[in-house]
Amino acid sequence: MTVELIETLCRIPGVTGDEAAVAAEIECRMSTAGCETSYDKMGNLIVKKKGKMRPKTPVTLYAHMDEVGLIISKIDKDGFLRFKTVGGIDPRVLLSKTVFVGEKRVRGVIGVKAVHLQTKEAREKAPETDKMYIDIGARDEEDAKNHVRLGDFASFDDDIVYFGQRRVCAKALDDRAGCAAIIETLSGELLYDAKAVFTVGEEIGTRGARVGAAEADGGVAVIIETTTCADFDGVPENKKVTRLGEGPAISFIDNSTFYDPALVRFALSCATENDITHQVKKSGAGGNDAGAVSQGFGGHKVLSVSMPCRYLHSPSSVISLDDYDNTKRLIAALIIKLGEQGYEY
Amino acid sequence: MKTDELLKILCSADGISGFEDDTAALASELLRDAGADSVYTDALGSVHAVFEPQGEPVRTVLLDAHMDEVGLMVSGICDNGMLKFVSIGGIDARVLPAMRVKIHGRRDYFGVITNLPPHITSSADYKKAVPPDEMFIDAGLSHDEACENIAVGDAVSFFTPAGMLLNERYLSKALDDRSGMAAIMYASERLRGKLGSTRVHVLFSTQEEFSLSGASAGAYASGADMCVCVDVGHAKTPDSKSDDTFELAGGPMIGVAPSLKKSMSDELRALAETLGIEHQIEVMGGSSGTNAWSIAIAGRGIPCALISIPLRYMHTGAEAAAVSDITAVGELLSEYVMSKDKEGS
Repeated sequence: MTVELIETLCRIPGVTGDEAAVAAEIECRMSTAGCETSYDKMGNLIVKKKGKMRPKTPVTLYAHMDEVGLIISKIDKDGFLRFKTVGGIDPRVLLSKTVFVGEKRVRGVIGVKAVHLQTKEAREKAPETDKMYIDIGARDEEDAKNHVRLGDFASFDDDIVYFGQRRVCAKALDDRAGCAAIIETLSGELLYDAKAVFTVGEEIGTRGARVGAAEADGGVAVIIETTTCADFDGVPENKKVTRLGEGPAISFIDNSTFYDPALVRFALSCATENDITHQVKKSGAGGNDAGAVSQGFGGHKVLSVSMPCRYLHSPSSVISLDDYDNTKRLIAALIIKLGEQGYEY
Repeated sequence: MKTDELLKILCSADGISGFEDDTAALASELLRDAGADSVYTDALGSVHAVFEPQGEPVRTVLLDAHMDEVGLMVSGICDNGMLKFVSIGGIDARVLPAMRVKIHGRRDYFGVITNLPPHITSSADYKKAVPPDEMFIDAGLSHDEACENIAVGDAVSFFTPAGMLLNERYLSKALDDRSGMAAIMYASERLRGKLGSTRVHVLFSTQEEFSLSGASAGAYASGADMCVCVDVGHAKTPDSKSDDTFELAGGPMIGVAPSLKKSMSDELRALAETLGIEHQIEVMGGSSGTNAWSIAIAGRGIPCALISIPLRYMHTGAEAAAVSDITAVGELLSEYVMSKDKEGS
């Protein structure tokens, strides 16, 4: 199931502001699995699954549905599309990458003039997004307008590759991998009731989670995410953040959340007790829905469980399926431990 | 075979300079299917095909396109299994971060070129291009696995899903110069059984991107009386100067340069006019930067003409060419050979 699920979810275009197709896919799978589903006013998908018992401390799982991408801001007279980035994208990953534009999924490429026509100075400078363009093969502006509208979203190429030591390379693993782990967890039999919120708008400021935070009332919120993994040569130790294949990373702090240290230790011992390979996120860099959920509606206790993800926010992000499996196991163990023992504060 | 089918087949092969064997095998098969009287490979790996005329041959016309493409080569294996690499052929390193590649080791391995996520990138770093020696290929292998299956010196080619843009514009790696090969294949099929006294010698040459050496050796061996090279030229893009570039879908670019045979260029221009083939004139001050440079002085000298196919994003993993241009080059080429044949003996 895992491979098919990740593949299906990653392939769906769902740039921030355009998450409906992702939500529809998840809703369909979750209702088939016997869950109750509903939407809030933001477009967050709320899923509830009955377990055999009522938990002492209920768990609400969070994963965001949106992905970083592009939005078409201009069509020039020669039919090339100009764009703005949606979410944090380093312009240096964009040149010569293929994209799909709009609902008609028009194929395009982010062009760059040939190396023969570049000066040495230009080649040493980073490319700038406002000078880039997408070539869809249109003859001119009018031709392009028959296929693309201003405001259309463009997402990275949806080709997915499985390679190396159980690795997956795809766009949008941030955070479809998190969505998939939750879907798989809630699709099985549960000992305790559990709930999930699949959020919108994470990549432009965790906006969906501000509203979706309401669902965490009376329990603990666990954010299932992907996080930076820069575990290669030339990167200073403090910037590597996590290591691929060494299990889900549990955060003590990031740029929007100070996690309750006792709850973090609770999660760490849960992983240890169940013999689940895991790691501690070794940097405060980055942030996710945890910040919004922890502050929203009077405040909530939150945890972040993140899969190490290389090349985050690029067209070719990479996770390890071992980390994915251990993330699923940790989610299941946390639901049981919180259900059985509860977490008092 | 239709041009788009030829492109699809030819671009599916990998073959960076010096590693053209797979492309050569594919090309040999296509040439045999096209009815070549003999097909063979020479010492430098170039593919030759001879198409004999109906009668006694009085002249041999050489048609050349190069088989090799730009790419990378493995230059080292890091402790963590990641691969160091160097460029083969002129590549703008700014297209590399997050690019997907195929490593031709013991078998083909998938890889991604590393990049850092924006979360840990400083604003100063954003301004400069990533230096090539700070990038690695991530094949998802451990050090031992990598050492066992991949060696320093192994070829690496770009891995981009090929596809059609709007208006029959083909997007793929290696259109430089597989599109030229496609035009020659188109011409060969069109000439089948139509020549009385003209022998056509097709040369699909190696190592153009490196040194033009495949063409130099191959042309000498052909004993040809004249040659038409088919390569690619720069098509207009929003970021290039219009003086240096040509119209995509504007028809064949007929080369005029002091290193090319003036009378042949004139004949091609006159023929295109007569036949009403839309074309463009590419004027160069000295070298054409193509195999024509070396073929003209191969052996005792072979008069050369050059026809180029307008191409966007040359030497990236996603080049774009108009199918109509390639077909038109094939037509002009075959008409030119037929006009020579009509000159009789």
